[in-house]
Order: sequence, then structure tokens, then C-alpha cells
Amino acid sequence: MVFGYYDIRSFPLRFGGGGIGLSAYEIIRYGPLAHEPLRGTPYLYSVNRFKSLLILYKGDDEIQRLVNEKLKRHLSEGLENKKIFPGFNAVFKPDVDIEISTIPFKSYDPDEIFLAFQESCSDFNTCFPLIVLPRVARGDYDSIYYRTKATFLNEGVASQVFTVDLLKDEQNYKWSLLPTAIQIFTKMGGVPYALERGALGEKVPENVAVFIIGLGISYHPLLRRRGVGYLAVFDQSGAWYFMDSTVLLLSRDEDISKRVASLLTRSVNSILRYSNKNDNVLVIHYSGKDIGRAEEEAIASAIESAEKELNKFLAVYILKIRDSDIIVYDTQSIYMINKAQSGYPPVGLTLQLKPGLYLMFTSGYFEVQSSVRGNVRRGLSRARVISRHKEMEPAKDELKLSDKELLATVFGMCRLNYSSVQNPVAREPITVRYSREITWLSLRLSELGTNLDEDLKIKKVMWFI
Amino acid sequence: MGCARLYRYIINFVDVRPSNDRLSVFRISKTLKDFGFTRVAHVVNMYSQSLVSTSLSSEYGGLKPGVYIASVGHVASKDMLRDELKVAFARYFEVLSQRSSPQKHIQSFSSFYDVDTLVNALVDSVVEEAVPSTSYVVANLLDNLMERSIAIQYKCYEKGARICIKLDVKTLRELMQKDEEFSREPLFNFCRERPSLCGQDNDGCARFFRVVKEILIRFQHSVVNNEEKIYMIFFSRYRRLSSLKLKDVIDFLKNDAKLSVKDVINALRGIRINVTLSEGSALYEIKDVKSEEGSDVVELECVDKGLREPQELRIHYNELEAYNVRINPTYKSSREFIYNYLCKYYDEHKKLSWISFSTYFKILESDLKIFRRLLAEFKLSSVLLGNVTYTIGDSFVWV
Repeated sequence: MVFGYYDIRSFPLRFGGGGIGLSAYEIIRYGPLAHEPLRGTPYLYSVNRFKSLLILYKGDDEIQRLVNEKLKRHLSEGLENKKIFPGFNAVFKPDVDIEISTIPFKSYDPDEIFLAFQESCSDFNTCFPLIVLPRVARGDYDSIYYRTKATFLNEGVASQVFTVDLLKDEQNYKWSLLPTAIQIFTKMGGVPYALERGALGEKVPENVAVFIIGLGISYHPLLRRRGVGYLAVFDQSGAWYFMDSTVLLLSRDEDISKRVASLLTRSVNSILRYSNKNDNVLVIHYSGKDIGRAEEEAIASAIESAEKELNKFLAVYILKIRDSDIIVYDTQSIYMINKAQSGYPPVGLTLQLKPGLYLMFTSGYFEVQSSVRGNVRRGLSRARVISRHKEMEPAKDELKLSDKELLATVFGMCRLNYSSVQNPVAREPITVRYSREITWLSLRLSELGTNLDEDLKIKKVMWFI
Repeated sequence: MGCARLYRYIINFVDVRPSNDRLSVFRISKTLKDFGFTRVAHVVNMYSQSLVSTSLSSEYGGLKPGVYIASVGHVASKDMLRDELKVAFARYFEVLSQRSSPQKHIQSFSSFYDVDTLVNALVDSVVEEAVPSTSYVVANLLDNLMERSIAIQYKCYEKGARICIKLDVKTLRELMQKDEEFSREPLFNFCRERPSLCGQDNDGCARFFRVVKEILIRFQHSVVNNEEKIYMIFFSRYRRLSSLKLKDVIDFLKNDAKLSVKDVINALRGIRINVTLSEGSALYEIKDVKSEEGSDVVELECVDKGLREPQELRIHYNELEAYNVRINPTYKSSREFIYNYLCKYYDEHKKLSWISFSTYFKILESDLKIFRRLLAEFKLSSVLLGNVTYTIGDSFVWV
């Protein structure tokens, strides 16, 4: 049943100046991989177009003091311990230093917050908003967090939120600065780091480009008939390309598979336009979080409908990724917690249930530089169930990649983690990790009148992390 | 699998061993108008006495598409199958005709079809087969059989899980036999400290919440080294069940908490609630509670602005049940209300999960033993499907 192990040491990260390392913290040493997307990069999407980072906060005395004495100062100058965070410009080295300033707003009202931003920024292409908001439950669709983000997105502006609670949290605050800065840099259009060799490495000839897309269907948390079909496109090193989404209405009058097919077709055509190689391979990760039989059939039917476009690829591989209640206890675990054997398995352990059906464990322990560390201390290490859907794949397969190689794309994409950089392996691959954020914000955008089927500028940046 | 020392990992799978290599099944091989494989399998599972079924839409693992039907507890003949299907379809149509659902297209064929004709047509397409007793369809047959064999009082719902069994502290105590099992189970200590969350009191916690252990299982087909096997995936966890019907909450505030009408209104204002409308559930916020002609009227405003009609709703106290109005505890205002007026300890169950992974696994091993005793209660210690007895193992698999 044990199928193999994916080891983080085989998936190093690539940073700026050719720097290579296992930990995302190496970005402090080497700088970011690129200031603009790797897909072909008009200045419109470069970090270097930004002149200012505006910290927007509710203008009461305590928050004002914390924002000025901590957040603004530390983003500008870094912490005393520069190894933890040396400052935004020091890490990312833009062509011209980005000026960091603070702007108060009157109340926690998205329109008020946007107004404050608008009054301080004459050109949205040059200012990035970092908004200080109270912490809210992630599962609250109507929260100030989602409403504010949607208001900014509706104007074509990606934003970053920093919580008041984190500002006040002495313990976690300092460790949150680098991940926050990395997310801001990514949303500006930069690529902080990517996999050094690509998830498939040498298994793919140099003249072939590999794209990995996350595809999913998700629903409104309360109105089950309203949903979103979405996809996010990366290359095999995990470098971001673009995202796209479309609103779905589950009614007898609408065939959701047609809308998903249309989304897939236009995205596949964009991929081929962006690719600088003649031969291309597509790996589709589709998320099973919200997927029932109807959605699964819609995706299968959409892939079938897009066959003409998909046949332009040397091969298309399809993996379904979902959560499970499957756990393993490692009787030989070398990961100790409070001097006791934890029982957590090695990160990357993969079991096979049958041909095409696998269990991958992405929480547990890993060995780096002869020390044993874990990315979980409490709770369970649940398997991701990964199934290869050969029956959905177009017949053309000129690369004949094995399941083992394809599973590496899942593990590789788990290495890409821009939001909690301390963790070298996220529980889910970046391709399908943000289904809720993409769905909820896409729904809100459509409620605000944005036509998601149009070619929006915002689709070219990774606004949802 | 096999000798534990050869293997390193323990997985929460349990062996399911068949007594024979082949299982005798009936396979309905043709679909009829309005009666695809899925619907036929549904009717068999819902309305037959001693048959269980599953559908396969396309060829898989050497199995042909169709509805696979196995008899439970005995070996059935084709005539017995025909008789039982007639009873099942007759009951199905009867239930449909009584339904007040607006799904007229479904109701219409209940008057259009003659049960004898329908069942004869289905049975005429039946192929009697002996499939491998560990084949793919067996996992689904066992799932469906287990699902309907669990007594209703033990059933719980979990998205994505096939079978969910809830055990309160009293049931757990009855099912436990050894001191070791008692000492491992943290729910006993928890219920000693917070009896009202375990149904042992009559305050707000006891009225609206109950902390239970939930056991989630499903059967899994596996093929390793060309050998087919069936496993049962076994998982357990603690959960706080809530029943926050607004009508009950208002009754509680008035009658038990002895709040004045004015205080009840102030307490409820701003709380977020789910309301069931014809097109699904919607989130509203309580704006006011007014007394009109001796009855309370709850005034609500839709929170999903621009999305939902009507934007404002007025629901009379005696309509609250019909609208299935429930407090949504996700929101801060609702949580504060619960804390202040119903139960201060409603989040305490989270502490039950603050255990190490190794402790969790030991508890899981005890839970498996308890589950097997529960199976004996459901007369499922050994499952007789057609000519094959399936025995569920008593320990987790090593891999």
C-alpha cells in the first residue's frame, strides 16, 4: 500500500539572483525571483510600477499609534532582528523604493475605506492598499473582510488585510511581517519564489512547457443555487499566470457544464498564447471540496466539450484532489513532541489504494539539515485523496507521464505557500487551496455588477491569497 | 498488512473479510424511461425489506453497468426478487403520491406506471451473476446496507460521509466494558464538569446543545498487487449538536429565563438567523420583535443585500416552525447572544480535541471496539449478503 515518499529536499525553491534554498525565509538573503509575472510581462503588472504602499486604518488613537509605531515603521525599516524581517524594500528591492504611508478612514465601511484610498491615490496603478481591519470569522460571507476586498477588487485594485488583533499580538506580530510582505509583493504582480526545477523536473523535455491549473466549482454559502466555476493557472514551477471565473446558476434553464466549458476553452487559449514553447502539457487539479455528482459530471462534460482546444496539448492529465478522514499513525515516527513520539508520519508519505487512487499526507514531519521538524503539533494529519481521472483525459498522450510523476505536481504545488512561510509544505496545493476566497469574492464582484466573463485586469494578479 | 512487525504505519482501515470468493447478485441491465439505474437503486434501498443495491453507470473493474442487487440475510430467487421489487415500487409510488412537493414531473409518473408492468420489465432484464466478493460494487452495497441498518436515534449527518453514528455519553457508558476503555474516553470527564452539555440538566446548555461522539464510517474498495480487498474506513470525533430554533429560544427566554418582553426584544435584536424559503436558505438579521394582537411578530432584514427577495420579512410566532427559523451561530452577534442568554459553555467541547495525535489514536482503537458492540445490537456483527458472510475486523490495518 505504501506507494512512496515525496521529500521536500527534492523540491527546493528558487529565489532571486539564482539563489536556491529549502526555506521561504531565504528570500531575505536572495531577494525575490522576479518583479513581474513570468508569463510575458508588460509593465502594467510589474511591482516596479508601484510608488506607494498605503496603510489604511480606522482613525482612533490606539490603532493610529500601533500602525505608526509598529506596522509602518517595521515595513519601512524592518525589525531590529533583520533576520526575521528587514523591511519591505530591503527584501524585495524594487527599482525605486516604495514609500510607505498611513491613511486614516472614518468607520469600518467598505465605501468609506475605499474613499480614503481614492483620495490619497491619483493613479490606482501606483498605490497598493494595506487595510487594517478587525479579525472576523473566515466563514462569515458578509464580513467586513470580504465586503472590503470586493469593493476594492470591483475597482480593479487588489488589497492586503492586516488584522488589528495581530497588531496587538506581541507573540505573532513579528512573524507575520514577512508573510504579509510576500503576499503584498505577490498581489502587486511579483513572483517571490518558485520551485527550482519544476514539479516534473527532468521528466519533461526542455522544449515542452507544462501548465498546472486548479479547476473547481464552489457555491454561495447560503444560496446553494448560486455558484462559481473558477480556475487558477501556474506553470510547473508554481509561477503564477492568471485566474478566471464565471458565475453559475443552478437551475433547469442553465447547463453549468456549458459555462464551465466556455471558461476552460478561453483559459486554454490564453495559456497557449502565453506559452513560449510549441509543445505544451496540461495538468488539471480539480478540487472536490464542494463537488457532488452534478458538478463532477459538469466538469467531465466541460473537458469533453473543450477537446478541440485540449488536443493542442501533447497531453492533458486530470487529478481530482479532496479531503478525507483517513489518517495514519507512524509507529516509527522520529518526530518528538514534548519528548514523546508524536506518531505523525513523514510529510510526503503516499499510499496507493488502487491504480489511479492515492492518499498523500502533507502534514507530519520532515528532515532538513539533519534536524527533524514538523508542520503540525496538534490535531490530525489527514490524507488528501488524489484520484487520476484517465477516463476524462483526452486520448492523446505523447508524454506518458506516470501517476508517480503526476502526484509530484500535487506535492510540488503544496511547497508553494505565500501566506504562512514558516510552513514548507501546505496542506493543500496552491492550485486548489483558495477555492473559498475565489468563489466568495467572485460572487461579491458579480453582485457589485462586474461581469466576470470579461477580460479583467485583476485576473492577471493573484489577488485571492 | 498481515504481520504487524513487517509494517510501519497503522491506518484507520479495518479488514472486511468475505466467507466466499464470489457473491451472487442480480444485475438489472437495462434502463427504462424515467427509471435510470440510480433511481431504481434508490427505490430498492429505500423501500425493499431484504434487498440492497447499488448502481454502476459505466463498466468498471470488469463489472458491467447496471443495478446490482444482493439479498440480505438469505439467498433470493428471481421470483422472490420480483415479489420484493413489486412491494418496493408500490411503496415508492404511494410515498410520491402523498408528497406535497411541487415536483409534479415526479408525481406524474406514479399514476402513469403500472407497478407490475414496470417491475416485470426490470426483472426481464435481470442477469444473475457471481461477482468477486471483494469487487467495487460490494463496498457500495455494504455502505447502503449499513446506512439503512443504523437505528434512527443513532444517525447523524455529515457532508461527504456515508454513515454517521452519534453516541451520547449514556450510550457510550452502556457500550463500554473495560476499565481501560472508560479511562481513555475524555467525554466522561467532560460530562462530569459540564453535565448540562451532555443532556443532564435543564438549563440553556442542555436545552439547546448536546456534546456527543460521532463515528463516521464508509467502505472502501482497494486493489493492491492485483488483489481486490474491501476495507471499512473508521473515524471518530466530538461534536456539539445545536438545536437553535428561534421559537424555542423565545419560549426559553420568556418562560425559563423569565425575561420581560422588552428584554427579550433587546436580547434578540441584531442576531443573525437562517430562514428557509422556497428557493433555499437565506440569512436575515432580527430587527425587532413586536407584539401584535397577542402574538409576537419577528421583523427581519435580509443580510445578503441585493441578492435576496424579500429584503424584509415579518414572521408571526406561530409561523417560525414553518420557516424553520434558526439562529446562525457563525456570527459574532449570535455568539454573544448565546453566551449571554443561553449557554456560557457552548464552545467548551473544543477542549475535547486538544489531545495529542497518539492519544487520539488510542481513543480511536477503543471506539472501534465500541462500534463492533453497536453492530451486534444492529445484528450486523457478520453481514450476510446473498451467499457471502462479511466479517468486520477488530483492529486497524498495518501498512
